[in-house]
Formats: sequence, structure tokens, C-alpha cells
Amino acid sequence: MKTLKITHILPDLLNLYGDKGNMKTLVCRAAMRDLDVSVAEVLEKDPIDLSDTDILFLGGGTDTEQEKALKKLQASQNEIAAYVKNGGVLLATCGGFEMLGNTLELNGNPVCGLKILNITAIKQEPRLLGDICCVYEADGLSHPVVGFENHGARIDIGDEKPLLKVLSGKGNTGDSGFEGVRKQNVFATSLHGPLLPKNPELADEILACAFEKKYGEKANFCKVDDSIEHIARETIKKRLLKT
Amino acid sequence: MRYRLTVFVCKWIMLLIKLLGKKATTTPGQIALKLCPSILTRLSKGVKKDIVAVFGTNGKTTTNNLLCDYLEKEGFSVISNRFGANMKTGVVSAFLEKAGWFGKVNADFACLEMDEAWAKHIVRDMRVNVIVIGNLFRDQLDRYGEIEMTMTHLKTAIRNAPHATLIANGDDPLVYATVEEFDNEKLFFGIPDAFSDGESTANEGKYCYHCGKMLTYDFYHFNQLGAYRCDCGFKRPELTYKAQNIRIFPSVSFDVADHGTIALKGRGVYNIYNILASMAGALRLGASFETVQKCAESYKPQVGRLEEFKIGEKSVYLLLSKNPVGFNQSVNSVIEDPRTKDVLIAINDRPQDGQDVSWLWDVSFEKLIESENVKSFVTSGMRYADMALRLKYGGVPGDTIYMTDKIREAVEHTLKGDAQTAYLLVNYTVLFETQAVLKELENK
Repeated sequence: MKTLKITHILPDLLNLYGDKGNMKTLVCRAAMRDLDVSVAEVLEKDPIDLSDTDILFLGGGTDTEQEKALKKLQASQNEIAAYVKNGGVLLATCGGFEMLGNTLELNGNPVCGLKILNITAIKQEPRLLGDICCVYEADGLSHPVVGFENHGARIDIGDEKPLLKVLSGKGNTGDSGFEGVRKQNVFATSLHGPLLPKNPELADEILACAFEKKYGEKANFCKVDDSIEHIARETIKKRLLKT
Repeated sequence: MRYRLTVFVCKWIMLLIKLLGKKATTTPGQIALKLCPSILTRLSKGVKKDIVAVFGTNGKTTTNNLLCDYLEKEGFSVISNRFGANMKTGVVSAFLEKAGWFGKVNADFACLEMDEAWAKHIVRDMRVNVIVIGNLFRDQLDRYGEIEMTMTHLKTAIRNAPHATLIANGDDPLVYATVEEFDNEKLFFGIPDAFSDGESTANEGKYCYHCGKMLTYDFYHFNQLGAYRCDCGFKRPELTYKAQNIRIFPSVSFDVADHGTIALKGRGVYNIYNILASMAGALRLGASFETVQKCAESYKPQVGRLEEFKIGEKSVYLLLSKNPVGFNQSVNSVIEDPRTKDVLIAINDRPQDGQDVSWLWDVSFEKLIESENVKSFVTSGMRYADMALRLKYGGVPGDTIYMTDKIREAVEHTLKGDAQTAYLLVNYTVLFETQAVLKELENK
């Protein structure tokens, strides 16, 4: 049986917004395709070893928790950078997204990020808060993506490519029209919801990228019943786009 | 002059609102504060004995209502916001309710539950003698932000009441960390011994607020409540009020060390803490333990707090939960009942509910899903599909979940199930509609 390993980094520190839902979604959707996905949690006291990781997940936390998390992650910065450079799949949400950048602000202080993405996050009033509807476009396909954004930072992504195009909502800077970053197999975004349950196509894309990287062949996942996912997504989409 | 005129005008407004059949628990206060910003200071001067502020993420309304019951049974007059309007507008409205037409206030006590984010704005305006803090859990992320901010708000409020007695939940490391630094008189309540295999689903409070290391627990009661300690010396304080010999089903009863036994008619482990908190306040204010016992025994829970309905032959329970901890408690309440049940979960996302429903994924619904006694699931409310998705990824086959945004249809479908009982878990703004449907069906 084919397998994938997810490494969930610091769930004891970075777990503010229902992130477990992202892990559950990946594991369940893989199981529907006879793909065995295991989740290894790396707690604050554990060493970070990405040697057999297929998907790395980094969530968000309070400023204080993120300060602690960054201290630990900085020590493994080279390993994480090498993992990403080699095409490793990395999903980062909320604070995790900002921590991948050059600088961010925690508890009022500017702090160095992991420098995996060439972005900066600077806090500004008012908070960018609310339901958001975007579209994910890749490989000729186009899927809606809905979520909930809640961040004080304006994220300047410079020359990095965005992950999503905003149809209704604030996005990275409040007015750039874009949300998140996609760089190689890094999927980074501020969206909670959590991100993956209502956006099954994105979940499948993340699984497919990890599968292809590991096995050198296209995943070609079979279709599964996503009717509940679509109803849940439409509820938000209708509200925002008034269609 | 301005004060008397404001009270006069606002009491008229209060009367009009009530004549329209609505509750006048915030609007009169809102208008009063606009007309006379210092009105709370004037109004509160009419309290002869003590003013009590009740805080806590969960259980404020129950704790405060119990405290008022004890004091009223002792013959005292009490100003209170019993319906739970706990922002500054609600507190002012509570005073206006009991004030004379020209502003004379004459009450023995004022016992007010307060929204933590408003704490400093309210406590600054009047002399608070007793502060009760029940617990600190993650509530609505998009409204309050984070627990650290809540603790900061409470600390600011305490700084504005340097002579107040602090009555605090010693089992909660976050509550203890909030009050520890103050020189005020401190009385702690809690459950000293383990009584269940409390599994921790805590997402906050596991870290020592002094040194940042992970707290060690000898045992958990639920969430971050339990017997905690840290190498740096931070640990659960001596408990003044201890609940022991605990029974939870078919109803809650326990002994309060050095005092006596309390037996409730209803269920819910969290009520042990509500009783301890309110009892500690009442004893401090001069009520007797006997009064506490009598009131606790006859206490009928507020709407949605494990409220029981009898519909045909079936016992139907309505449980309000406003946040992950509340929902986990509700899940436990469902599980501790050995009968079979059909379960309805209804979730709205109005501003009072919190618009971000990510928290659904922090609730241990798997305990319900894996229970053999849960026979079917229905989801409803505005976010019925999100809840169905949560169940699907929790292991419930998608095509077995009955989904509808119409509450009446959802309730009727749930009650048609074959199980012996039905449990309806709802969040805040779905509550009254669900209760109305249940009352109607009960009376048929």
C-alpha cells in the first residue's frame, strides 16, 4: 500500500484555529483513495527530523506561542529550507504563513522569520477579519476556496506568487486582490475555516503534489463524494458574492 | 439634575420596551450612558453593602444567578443582570431597573456578571468589594482575540479594586496566574481529588505563565482544570472551598468540606464549579451554608443548560454551548447518560456566536461519534453543512447525516428517531428558537 507521512510541527504551541481539521481532512481523503497517511507530531521537546516527511504542516498560535515556536524552528532553519528547496510539500496557515517570511511582528516587536519565503508581515490597524472567498487556479483548473481570515499583519509578498485570487475579502494586504503564497510545493495562506475541509480540491492538490514527489508518478485520484463540502462552501460563497 | 433626568427618561424607555414585549436589558443602559456618562458611579452609590463582579468564560450567568438566589433568600435586596446582559450597557440597565423614577437607588447588594473585555470600564466606575473568577477558556476567537488579552483585562480591573476580595477557581492555572500577583484577600475553590478519567483537550493554559515550561498535572478534571504544578514553584494553591465525594449521574451531588452536602436536581459537572463559586461569594457576604443548600437543591437551570423536556414518552435535553470547552462539556453530558440517543447539533455564526466556526474542529465530537449509544445525527442552524462536514471527517458516513437549516424540521426529525432519548446541542443564537419549538411540542 502506498503511504505518505505528514509531520505536524509544534501542535502543542501552534493550534489556535482548528488546525486539526486540516490534518483530519488530509488523512481521510487519502484513505478514501487507499493511500495510508500517518501524522507524526513534533512537540516542543522533540527533535525535528524531516528525512522521511512528505507533507510538513505549520499552523498559527498566540504571539507568545509563536515566539517560542520560532526559537525552536530557527534551530532547524537549514533543514526546513533544504526540504522546501527539494520540492517538499509544506502547508502553512495563519501565523505559520507569516513565520515563513523574512520579518514579522510578535508582541509589538519585529522578529526574524524563517526566511523560506521572501515576504514581510507588518501589523497595522484595523485587523483584517471576516469570511473570504477566493479562487485557486493551477494547471488549467479553477476551484473556489473559502475560509475565514483574521490577521493584524499586512503581508507584502514582493515577487512571490500568490496562492489564491481574492473574489471577496481582504487577502494579504487588504487590497492587493491576492491571498497567500505558492512557491514550488509551499502552500501558505492566512485562511482558517479550517482551510482544507471546505476546499477538497486544494486538499487533493496537496496530497497529489506529495504523492508525485515521493513516487515520481501522477496521483490520478479517483473522484469522491464531496456534496457536503460543496454545500458548506456555497453557504459562504453565496453570502459574499450574493449569487 | 442631569442624572435624575437621565434616569427618568431611561426608565420610561424601559417601560415602553417591556410593553412591546421585549426584554429591556441593554438599550436603556445604552441611552443612559450617552446622556450621562458617569451614571454608573451615581447609581452604584445606592448599594448599602457589597458590589460583586462575576467573571468567567463559562458559567457566569448560572454563578451570578445562584449568588442572587442565596442573598434574596436571606432577605436581602439585590440588583442584578440575571438575564446575562453583561457589557456596561447591561450593568447600567440592571441598576436602572431597580432605581426610583428620579434616580434613588436603595439596595443591599449588587451582583453583576461582567464581560471580561468590559471589566476595566465597569469596575473603574464603582467600588467593587468582591470579584469572582470562575474559569478562563477560549471563547470566540474573532471577538476576543486570545486568552492573554482576557487575563490582561481582568488584571486591570483588579488593579481598580485593590480592596476587593478575590474568589477564584484554584483548579484553573490561568485564573490563578491572573490573581496571584495581587495582595487582595484571596479565596480559592476547587475539586481537590480526581473523580473521573478526565481527558485533556486543552489548547490553552498548559504552559506555566511564570517560566514558560509545560505544566505537570497529577490529574485533569477537564480542559486545563486539575492538579497542576511546575518545577519553578508555580502550583495549584490551597483550596479554601473543596468539593469532595462527587456523583454526576443521574444528578450532581457533592460534599463541601467542613460544611455539608449539596444535591442538585440537574446534571453537568461544570455546575460543581458554579455552586462553589457562588457559595464562596455568598458565605463571604454573610449568607449561611443552609441557604446555599436549599437554593442549590431547588435551582432550575437557565434555558439551555441541560434543560429537560418531556415530549411524548421521550426525555429530550437542550444543551447550550458557546465555545469549544462548553461543547466538550455537552459531549460529556451526552456520554454520561447510559440510554440510547439521537443527536441534533445546530450551529449559527451570527456576531454573538462568533463568525469563525473553525473551533468546531477543536471539539471532541469523536467521543459522540464512537459511542455505541448515539444512534443518529442531525445538523442544523446556519452552518449546518460545516457541522455535517465535521461529523463526516470524524467518521460518520456523509449520507447518514440529516442536514437542514430549518430548526423546526431538524428538531422534528430528531424526535422521530428510535433512540430512548434525544440530545440537542446548540450554540447561542439558535437557542431560543430551538427552545420555542420544544416548548410547543411539549405542550401538544
